Amino acid sequence: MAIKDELVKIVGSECISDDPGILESYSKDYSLTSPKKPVAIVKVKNPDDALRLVLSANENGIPIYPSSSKVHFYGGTIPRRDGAIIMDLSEMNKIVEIDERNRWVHIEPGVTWEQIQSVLEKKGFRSVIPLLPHAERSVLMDLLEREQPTACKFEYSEMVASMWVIWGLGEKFVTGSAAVNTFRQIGCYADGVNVQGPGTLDFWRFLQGAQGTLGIVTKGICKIEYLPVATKTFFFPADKVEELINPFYTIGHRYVGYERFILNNVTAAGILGDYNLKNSLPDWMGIIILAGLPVGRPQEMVDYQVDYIQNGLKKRFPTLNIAEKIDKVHVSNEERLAKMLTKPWPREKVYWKHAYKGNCHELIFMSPLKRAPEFVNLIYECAKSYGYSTGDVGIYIQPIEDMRACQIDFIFHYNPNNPNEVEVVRKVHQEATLRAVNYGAYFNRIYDGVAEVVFSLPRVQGYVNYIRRVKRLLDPNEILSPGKLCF
Amino acid sequence: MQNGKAKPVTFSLDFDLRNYLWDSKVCLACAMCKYGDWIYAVSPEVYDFGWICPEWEWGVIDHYGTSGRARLVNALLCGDIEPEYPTVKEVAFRCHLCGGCDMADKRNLELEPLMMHEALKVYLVDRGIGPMPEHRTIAMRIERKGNYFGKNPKERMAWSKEAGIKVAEKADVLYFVGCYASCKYSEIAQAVAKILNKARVPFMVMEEQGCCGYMLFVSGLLKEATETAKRTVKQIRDKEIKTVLCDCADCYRMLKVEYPKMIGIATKDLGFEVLHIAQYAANLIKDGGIKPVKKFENKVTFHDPCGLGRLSEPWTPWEGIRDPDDWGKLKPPRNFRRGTNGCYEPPRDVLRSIPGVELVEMFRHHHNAFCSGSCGGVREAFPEQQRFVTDVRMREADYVGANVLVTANPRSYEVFAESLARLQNGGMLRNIEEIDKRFSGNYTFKSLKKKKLSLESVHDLTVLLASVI
Amino acid sequence: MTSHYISVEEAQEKGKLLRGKEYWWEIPDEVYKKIEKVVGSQWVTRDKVARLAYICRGYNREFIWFAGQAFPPCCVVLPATAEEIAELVKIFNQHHLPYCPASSGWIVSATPRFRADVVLIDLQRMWEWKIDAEEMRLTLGPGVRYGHNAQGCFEYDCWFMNPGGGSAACVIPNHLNWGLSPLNYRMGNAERRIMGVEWISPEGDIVYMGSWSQEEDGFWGDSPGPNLSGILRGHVGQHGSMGIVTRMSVKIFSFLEDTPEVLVPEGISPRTHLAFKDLDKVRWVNVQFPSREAMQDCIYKLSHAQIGAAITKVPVFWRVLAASRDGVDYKNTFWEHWDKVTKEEIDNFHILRILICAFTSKEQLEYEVHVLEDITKEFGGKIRRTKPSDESWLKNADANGMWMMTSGYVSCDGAQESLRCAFATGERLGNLLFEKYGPPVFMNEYGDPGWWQSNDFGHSGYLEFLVYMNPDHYDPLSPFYKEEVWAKMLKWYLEEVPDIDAETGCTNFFCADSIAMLYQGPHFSDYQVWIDRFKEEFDPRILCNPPSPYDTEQLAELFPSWLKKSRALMRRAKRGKSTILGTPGHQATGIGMKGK
Repeated sequence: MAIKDELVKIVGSECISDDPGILESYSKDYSLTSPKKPVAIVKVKNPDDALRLVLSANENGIPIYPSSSKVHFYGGTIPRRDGAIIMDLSEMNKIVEIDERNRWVHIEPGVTWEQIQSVLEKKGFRSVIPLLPHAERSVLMDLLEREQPTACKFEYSEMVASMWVIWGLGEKFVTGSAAVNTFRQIGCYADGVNVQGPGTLDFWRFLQGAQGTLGIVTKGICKIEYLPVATKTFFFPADKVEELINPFYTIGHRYVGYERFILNNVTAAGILGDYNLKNSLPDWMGIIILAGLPVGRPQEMVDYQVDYIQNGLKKRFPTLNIAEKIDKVHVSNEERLAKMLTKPWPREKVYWKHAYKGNCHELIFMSPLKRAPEFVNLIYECAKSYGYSTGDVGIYIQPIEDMRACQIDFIFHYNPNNPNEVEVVRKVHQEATLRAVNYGAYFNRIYDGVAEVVFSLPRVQGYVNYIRRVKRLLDPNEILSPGKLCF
Repeated sequence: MQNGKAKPVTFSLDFDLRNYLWDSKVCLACAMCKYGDWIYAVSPEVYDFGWICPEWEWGVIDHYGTSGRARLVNALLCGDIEPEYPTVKEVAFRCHLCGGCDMADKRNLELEPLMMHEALKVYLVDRGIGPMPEHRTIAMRIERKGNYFGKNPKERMAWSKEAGIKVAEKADVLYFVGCYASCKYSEIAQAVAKILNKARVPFMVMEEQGCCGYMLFVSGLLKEATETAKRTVKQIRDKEIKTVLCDCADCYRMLKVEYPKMIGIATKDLGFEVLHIAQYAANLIKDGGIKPVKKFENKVTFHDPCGLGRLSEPWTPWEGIRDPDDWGKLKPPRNFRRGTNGCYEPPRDVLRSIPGVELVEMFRHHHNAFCSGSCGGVREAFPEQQRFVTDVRMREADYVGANVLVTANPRSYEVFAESLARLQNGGMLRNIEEIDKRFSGNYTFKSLKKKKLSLESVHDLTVLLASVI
Repeated sequence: MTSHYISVEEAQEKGKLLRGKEYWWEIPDEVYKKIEKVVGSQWVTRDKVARLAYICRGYNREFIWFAGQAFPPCCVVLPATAEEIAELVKIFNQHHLPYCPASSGWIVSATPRFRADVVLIDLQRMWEWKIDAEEMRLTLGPGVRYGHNAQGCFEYDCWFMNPGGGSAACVIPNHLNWGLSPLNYRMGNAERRIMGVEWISPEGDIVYMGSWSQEEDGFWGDSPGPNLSGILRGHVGQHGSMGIVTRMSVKIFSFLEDTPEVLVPEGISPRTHLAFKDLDKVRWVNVQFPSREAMQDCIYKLSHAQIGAAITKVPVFWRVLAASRDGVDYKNTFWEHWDKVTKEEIDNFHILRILICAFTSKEQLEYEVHVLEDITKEFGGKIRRTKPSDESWLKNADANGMWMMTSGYVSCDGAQESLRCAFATGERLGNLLFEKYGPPVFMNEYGDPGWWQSNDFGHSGYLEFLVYMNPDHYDPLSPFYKEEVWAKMLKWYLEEVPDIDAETGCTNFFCADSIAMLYQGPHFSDYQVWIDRFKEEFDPRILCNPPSPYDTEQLAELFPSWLKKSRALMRRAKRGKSTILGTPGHQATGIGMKGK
């Protein structure tokens, strides 16, 4: 096979696979995206191999779909074009450097949440992590794909700074201040912590949410934080999500809490590791974790926040139910929660999103927090209209930046072995996307089933025309992840 | 290009425009001259009350203001534009000379924008380009009749014929009766007399007194204004007066600041003290000489007249060099007038002493006050600009919830009284529409949403005080 | 700049030599009439006096103006809406007429340079200010200025930064170009605060970014998929050379309860301030350290504890300047103090300023004070008494005061890198300035390493290095002009600073403005090549505010011929080593581009 010979010349035969079984495994993931087989999988070991691969793809017009995680949920790496190859970067998984003083970590794209958290924990640090991510997801990719962290107090700057990139037209590039030619050479003090490099363009912005359509990231510098040494967890049980909105705005505006989010009973049961709990849990639950940092006075830091919640907040919302325990739940769960949230979901257990029925399909969008209840009703209505039980819809509302906005995640659980359930979920998702868009939901994560809707909105056309011009500059031959977005 | 061996020229703070070439080039167009002191900046919701430069708020385009005029002065002195170019004259004479930019610029920089503006007018007049025709007419009236209104000089003392007014033949205190008090608002002159009589302060007046020359000065008619200054100072000195009392902020500013400036002496060398009646009355109240007893139950706001406030600091002449080899330092150092020691509290003390008065401040007050629009000869030459500016100031007083506006300057009183009538008859809406046209975007300031005027009356401080003692 | 008489004839003769071209350029009637049709005759003018008013305003204007390269625009237009601007831009493209957008005009790139055929688009009329205190955001027009904005936010118990650029700067252009302030310690960088954007492309299309790309609610800054707003600005902005932003929604932040009662304007000019009426809610703390190293370590540790709302070390001469404000002759009072300063004093004077706010409660403020005391004590720091007021950063920022000391000033280096990089770069610049570039070239700063602050709770640091010059020595129109001073100044800006930046790895955020990108680009992965590519793609006719972002070759050609030395210095940039040429990718560029 001509392509294979070409690839062998570039990366050597041991890195290439066209075994039908392996190709099959790369042709699908946990999403409902229609499967499509690549013609080869190329496991790159270093940026130069990746660059040569991209150059060759440019010459021969071969579509490349980069993949860094070992597990995928949204169909981002499933080919859309014939004759495509998957560039698998999961074996580029070195933690290159931990910069403790500036609180950053330099990692390759294959580094997973499990890998990074276990290393950082030993040094008393944590990375800024989404809600119990899969242990084998790529840290860099989740951050670039706008997975929101549970620690929504962070008002400041991006979670990824400099990145080492290969553009679609086959040029190495460094975004951010690590772009200096003498980076990490003696006499150079740059630590690559500025998201922007010199000058007037912000390449970081082009790469986020791009799903590998413009460039391939081969290394990145990610923000880390101190691991709290004192914590205190509060639960706000509620019958209706509406009851939690104003109290959440207040704690956000008063900068109280480290991790803050809202779950419905299904998702709460999921993260507590037992979906059987769902009927005994309150319908809604706000969760606030107060943290005391090791530098300073950890307990005092927790105490002034406890004081605010028990006095200030309670005074302002007398009917708000503030609990330190959840009824009918084993105490150890609550105690473990703060620690759990600094790590990915344990590898030995079935991933919490799949533990209920085997698989799930998610609808993720952004909205102002105050509009969340409307969206909950909208999606419930939509689910009902297709006979999908609202009791099976998991909901996770993640406020962002002290309640400036929130990301709402509707998790439609289903049994992958039941074709009817699969079909219903597919339809609910399709319809819910349409209704949500028409209702003002904002989609910044464009996955299968969403792209078609969002990129056809009349208002967005100007944007599409101009982002295509950026694509023309960075990947003129459209060899990177073609068909994933609006190019 | 030369590597100069030249010697720095000795120059003085006077009316020679060339002395402001440096200022015209240092000006950064930082916009403090537009908005005033940022510490006192208002919310964008009341943006129309956020300006210090009346001309700029009226005109919006940048040549209607100090930084634009600085570029113009630079171009004139470097020959990039002819003084005869039609708009040069318009832009120069639309300046109110209210000193707002001067105060604001001197917060962080040592420029002399007010002197530059005055010198620009003089520069144009010297070349036969200024002043505006309306200014010439008034100058002629002053020359012929000795007053702004062209009234028969004999009528100047009519106000004093009122029963009960005692004017001394000779006294240490001279009441310098302004054109407005003597020819238009005799109640002001009578109020001054009543206050002084009540406090048993003997005062005299000068039968031969003429106009203070304010209009000549602000029109750039330097020669005529200087003659007036010399004549008036001589008259006062000849009468061995110790204290001159003014009922008008413009007369006060002329006698205290501009006369010495034009004559080339320091205020302290005038040989007599110049006070505004507000200062004198505040002291009388403090010493128990008079006591406001009648109630005046109103929410009152005070408008600081430019001449009484930031422009009233004493004048000290300066001559020296700007040392090019020592970072452009002025040698000897110059005593900059920043509006810091203007007269701000005495009129407020007077108001506070009146039973029932609730004093509220407008957004722009003290050194940062907005001009009433009456200053600088703009009222005479560009009435539409003055009306716009005055109406904005009136809406500000109204917006802060005052039902009474008090000022201490007859010219300001006059424009405010006119404005009140105008706003009450639909002018409020017109002014709001004007502002709307200037600052568009699909947003309207909160201040433009109030369409009904609740302000009820305008008072001159002296008349108000006389009515409650 | 001369403070000394110059005859009209002499000025004209020198001016001609410097400018090398006609000063006035008249816009063709045909185009002028089209503009009138769009905005109405009241809002466009070609009156010479109006055009003069827009010459060379704001920062760095000296270099352009004094070199004779500041020209009046051919007309000034004041549009009111995005639609009007889009139409205008299409007209300019049709007639190949360059245009320059300006809001506050507080930077030289907001005025015509090097050519007289530029239309100035004055955005001052575009006024919009809507606040959503609950979701902490503002929707703004380009005319809104920081000083007003700050007061507006206070009235809703919110706050926002005021930049080094000063309270007079307009929020939108400043956010598009810099947006830096000590408050970024907590608020993050300006590029992240930008959310919804209404953008007129260089060719006149109206494009929406952020959540505005899909709906009317500008509550978030990401766009669907890749974020196009990457073309609006990087570490520094495009200086109006990549379209015009006509509307923006920006993040603001929750502040103190009852802010207007806590922060009250007081005083008479020049000594005015924002009085702190409740020290349990807000206070500035000054800490003096025994050594620079102790101060540097303490900045790190305070940032690790994530306390305070600002942690900043400013140049010592700013403190002297502030203390001189009361003097009737401010400048001379400053010099009386500054002339007495010695290098030893500067080497041993280390003050850190920390802003503490009760965001949560009195208890939270007390907690932060306790931690501050613990940590500063650990490094031998002594807490000094401070005034219960703010004169800078919360509402007011006296940027124009920078010109007070010598009447000539430039921020020659500014960077957002790690704190240690800021420390090292500042120290190198301070020492070199003291050793080789003292008077008469620059004011003696006695080795002060400049302005440092912690950003992102210490995840990054900030450096700004300022130099002060004597205009009488570098203004060719001055009888005291010294060509060697001009040459040494250029050597500093164009050689020394970029060299130190390249050595320490400091990305200078003035390199698209006062220092051309080509000086830094080759040392930083050839960013200049990308900037050219994007400019070529989005503004093919190069009509959008030329020559920003500066192209060195173009600058070298544009500078007057008598400035031979500066031309040579500019061309030097070409000698920078290209990283792209060193990669196999470069060959592919050819292949790639062919596919266009």
